[in-house]
Amino acid sequence: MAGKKILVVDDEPNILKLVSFILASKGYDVIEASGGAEGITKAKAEKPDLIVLDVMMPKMDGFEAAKKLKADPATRDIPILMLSSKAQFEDKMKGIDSGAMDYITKPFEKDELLQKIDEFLES
Amino acid sequence: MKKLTPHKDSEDIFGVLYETGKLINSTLDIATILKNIVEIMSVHFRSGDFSFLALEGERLLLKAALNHPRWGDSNYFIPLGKGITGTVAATGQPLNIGDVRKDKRYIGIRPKMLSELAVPVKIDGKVVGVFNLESPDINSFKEQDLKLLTALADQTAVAIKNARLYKSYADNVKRLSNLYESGKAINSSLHIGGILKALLETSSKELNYDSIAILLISNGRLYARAGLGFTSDEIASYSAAMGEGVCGKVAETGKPLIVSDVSKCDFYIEQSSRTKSEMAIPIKYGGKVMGVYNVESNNLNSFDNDDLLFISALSEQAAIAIKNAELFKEIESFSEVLQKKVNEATTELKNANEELQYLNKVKTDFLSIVSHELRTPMTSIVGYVSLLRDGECGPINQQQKEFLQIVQDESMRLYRLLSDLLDVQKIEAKRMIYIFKDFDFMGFLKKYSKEAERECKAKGLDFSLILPKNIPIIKADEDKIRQIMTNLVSNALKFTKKGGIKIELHVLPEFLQIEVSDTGIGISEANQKLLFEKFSQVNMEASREAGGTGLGLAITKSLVEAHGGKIWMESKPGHGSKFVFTMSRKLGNNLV
Repeated sequence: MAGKKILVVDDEPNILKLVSFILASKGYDVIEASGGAEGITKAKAEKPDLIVLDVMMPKMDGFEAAKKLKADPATRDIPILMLSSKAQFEDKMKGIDSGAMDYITKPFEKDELLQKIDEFLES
Repeated sequence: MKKLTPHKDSEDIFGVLYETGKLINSTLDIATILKNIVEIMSVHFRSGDFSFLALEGERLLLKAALNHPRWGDSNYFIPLGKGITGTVAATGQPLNIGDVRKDKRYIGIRPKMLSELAVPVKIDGKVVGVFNLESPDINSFKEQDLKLLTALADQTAVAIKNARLYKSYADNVKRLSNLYESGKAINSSLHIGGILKALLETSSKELNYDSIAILLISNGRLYARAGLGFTSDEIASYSAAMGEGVCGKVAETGKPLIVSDVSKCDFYIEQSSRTKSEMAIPIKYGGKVMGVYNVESNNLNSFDNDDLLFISALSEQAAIAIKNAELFKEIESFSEVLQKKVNEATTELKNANEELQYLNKVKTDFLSIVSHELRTPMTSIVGYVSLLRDGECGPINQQQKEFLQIVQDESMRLYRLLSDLLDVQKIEAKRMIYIFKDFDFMGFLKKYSKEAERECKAKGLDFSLILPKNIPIIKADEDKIRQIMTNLVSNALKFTKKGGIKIELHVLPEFLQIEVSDTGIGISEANQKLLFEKFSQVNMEASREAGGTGLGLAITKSLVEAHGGKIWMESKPGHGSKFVFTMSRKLGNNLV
């Protein structure tokens, strides 16, 4: 999986650092963004293979960001893995084209995260 | 009719009597009877100077006459014992006066009369009137005339008696019918005002009255509550103490009174200067006087026993109706009080319920927020600890690894506790969301059993999965099924030290039945009942050791029930446990 580019979006610096570390240690090329708007900008500029998107963020939350990414032809096809609670995900995903989207609940173990990412990138 | 000459012979008398008898008895109306008698007299007696006087009290009143100068004068009467007629009435014996000039008792009413024949009319031996014949000739009336007139008087008496009986009968029938009608009217109302109005209307049809008042006892005194012939002010001020006046007397004794002449009654208290006679009847219920029915007349002797009986009967009905009305009023006011209390209680309950709902929401929201807010630090703790534990940041020794694992496990346990609490809150607030979709149990269990098998092997336990050839697709919420299975399998793992765990699925006509068995410590029968209660850890020590929250089975039960199924368990202490749950095969899509 080395060489694949993953964008991690989270407003919590500790989580951002954790996810980045886990992914980087597995050889992924990691780009960081600390908010929804920054995430969208970086997604357009860097064209990552996958986006790990946190839900609970101030200003623009993960759902709004996902909606915008899915609406833009330039980023539409990038798969998104959201970090959220199950209920949050199921509830809010209605109304968003959820193609190539999944979620992982916090708190998660690194193996769980890596397994999901593998599934996405393989498919 | 031809004019006959009387007393020719005895045959004649019988013929006359036969004819008169027929005539007199052909009617039951007293006025007609008297008219017929006059007719007979004019036919059978030459003189034609006939009169019939009826005895009323101490007076003889002219009721029928031929050629009488005072006929039609309502003030005319002969006092009992005066004159020939008065003497006959007083003695009951006939008189045949051949020459009135020689009789001191004679009072000349008709001019130029010289002889007079008078016979009493008796009913049951009592004089009710006198037949009188006068003639301008001396010694005009013979023995035969006396016999004939006596016979006519007897026949007339019988006819009058019959007529009176009939009238009394007819009156009674009318009164009974009136009583029946009034009973209906009185009892059709449940308000005292309506009852008294019906009572007044009925009685006023029957009575010779000038004023009627109905008085009811209140606080030991009579107060007029309704009346006729009074102004509303007069009714309002009309009151009497017990024993005071005619009404007070009746109220005190409970016995009716007829006062024929109020001037002769020593306890009479005047209400109206015109009143001459009065009748007062107690209104009684259960032997107790509740009021008085009082009726007054501007004439003397206005009320008789029939009136008394009639009003008494009416009063009895009225008493029951009034009592009913009082009871109804009590019930009404009681029901009003009750309704008010119910309303108050309902409002209190509603407020309390709103407050409870609010508090419950606050609690749920609080837990929800806490749970979500805890995710971030938990994620950091669990994430970084696992990096350290796995040596991603440099090598660590075995004890360090073990301790970091404990930090990891306890962090997850803390998080699960909050997560379970949140689930319980959602279940209780009916906010748990279910998404039912086509669910392939076969696929799910094959995949799930790999995790379970791995965990069993890690603990040195056997694992087996027993499935039928085919499992029908059902509607279910996959996440909830995973939660149910994880709960049951992790419980089995927690309490089983040796032996193994078995998962089995049976396809029943309406359900899928899933069994999770272990060879662990088992649960006593008494504790089995508590198992599905919240915070019930049957073996608290073992549970703590195993890291449970005490909420898992309560949540599991609710998740199973949401799938139209049931959960139960079979166990023997020391011989393991078997948890069984069913899933309905007949759930629809998207049942939330």
